[in-house]
Amino acid sequence: MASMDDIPTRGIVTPAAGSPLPFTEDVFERFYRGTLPTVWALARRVCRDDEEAADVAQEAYLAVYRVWSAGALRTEPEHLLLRVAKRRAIDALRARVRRQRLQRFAPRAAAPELSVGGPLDVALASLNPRESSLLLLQAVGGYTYDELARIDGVTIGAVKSRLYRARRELADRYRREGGSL
Amino acid sequence: MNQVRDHRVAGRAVEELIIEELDGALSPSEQRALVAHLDACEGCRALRVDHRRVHRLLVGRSPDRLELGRADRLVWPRVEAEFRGLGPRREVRPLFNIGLAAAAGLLVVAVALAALLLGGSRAARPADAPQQIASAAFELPDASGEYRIEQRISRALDSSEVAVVVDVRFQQAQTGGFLEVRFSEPGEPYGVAARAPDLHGVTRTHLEGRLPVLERGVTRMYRVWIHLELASEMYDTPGIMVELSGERGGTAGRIP
Repeated sequence: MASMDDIPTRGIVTPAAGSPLPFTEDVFERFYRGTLPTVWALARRVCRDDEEAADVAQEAYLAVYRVWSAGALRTEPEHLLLRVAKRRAIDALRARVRRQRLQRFAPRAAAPELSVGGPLDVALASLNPRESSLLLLQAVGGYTYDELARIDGVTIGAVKSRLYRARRELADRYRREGGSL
Repeated sequence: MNQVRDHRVAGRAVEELIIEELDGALSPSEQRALVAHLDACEGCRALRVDHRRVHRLLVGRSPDRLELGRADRLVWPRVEAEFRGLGPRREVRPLFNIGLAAAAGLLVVAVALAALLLGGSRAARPADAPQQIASAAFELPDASGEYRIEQRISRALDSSEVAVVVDVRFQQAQTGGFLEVRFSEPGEPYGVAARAPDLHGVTRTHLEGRLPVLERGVTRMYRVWIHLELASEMYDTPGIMVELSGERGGTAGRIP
């Protein structure tokens, strides 16, 4: 039985030039097992809630499943997966912020608190979610600028400048939150 | 710090080079220029140390084994449940669908019966929901709660393990102290499966931990209990005896 360590987290399936990837449920399951750590890290750290993160991950995997099983995949499934997960996570966070703003005007409705941990979590949570998700993909997933550009659908220059801004901001906020440097 | 951030080398901000260095994206000439500047600039060296530390902390935000197992149990059943209902299967005529559903139902019943008859402690895949092995409630002067021992099978980790889950409610916010899930073989020093290191301000807490993972063929008996240490008192719950055995694909637990 293969363990998690035996399965590469990236490059599990690479499209042959110009042809759709062959889909089987076994391949999809291997793909799921290989990518879950990064998808979960992204969704959970951006949403800061297990249930919302699970919704995000579910939607992302199903989006890939539909395209892939229909033979319509024209990119690495991993890039598609992370693009969808990132967008859904940001949408979920924004929707919750909107709900919480509304709940401020209705004091009887209990506003769920975001679960935020130490100084790094607080600093990450205070960043623009587009930037924090990019940072997480880069740090946790180990993606290159080129891969991040393909995931985000932007230029490498845009990725570099966003990462630069995000890292500066994160270091500053981490320090302000009392994180030890 | 802001002054340091204005420093430039070869037409670029030094901080930009420090950050790209973390990502392994500097060219050899940029790397040389950065090192030459850092040799002479203490402020930029400190800035580089700061960025490296934050980067290491970020890398450490990868989910650990326990978190990944929890994620797997939340995500996979939803994904599987939905995609089993998608694709060509939806296009099958309704009458035939009923036949398929009935056949699938019979198959599920047959598998469940087979699992019961074989007495296996490990659930057949893809039943990844935790299986409760044992549970106990406890009442202490300042707190009450329950803990349970679960068999967890993770598709993402492709393994099985035995976890302890604890929920505790305190009568009032605590001023300090800690809570541990402890386990030990009779006559041996105890180990800690999970720990809430600081109960300051806490009125309720949820802890999850994993019991030892055993080599295949190894069987051991453990007592599992909760240890609560508050400012002036300490308490130990009576404990649950559980037998763990290493088997193919992980560790299984049962009550002796």
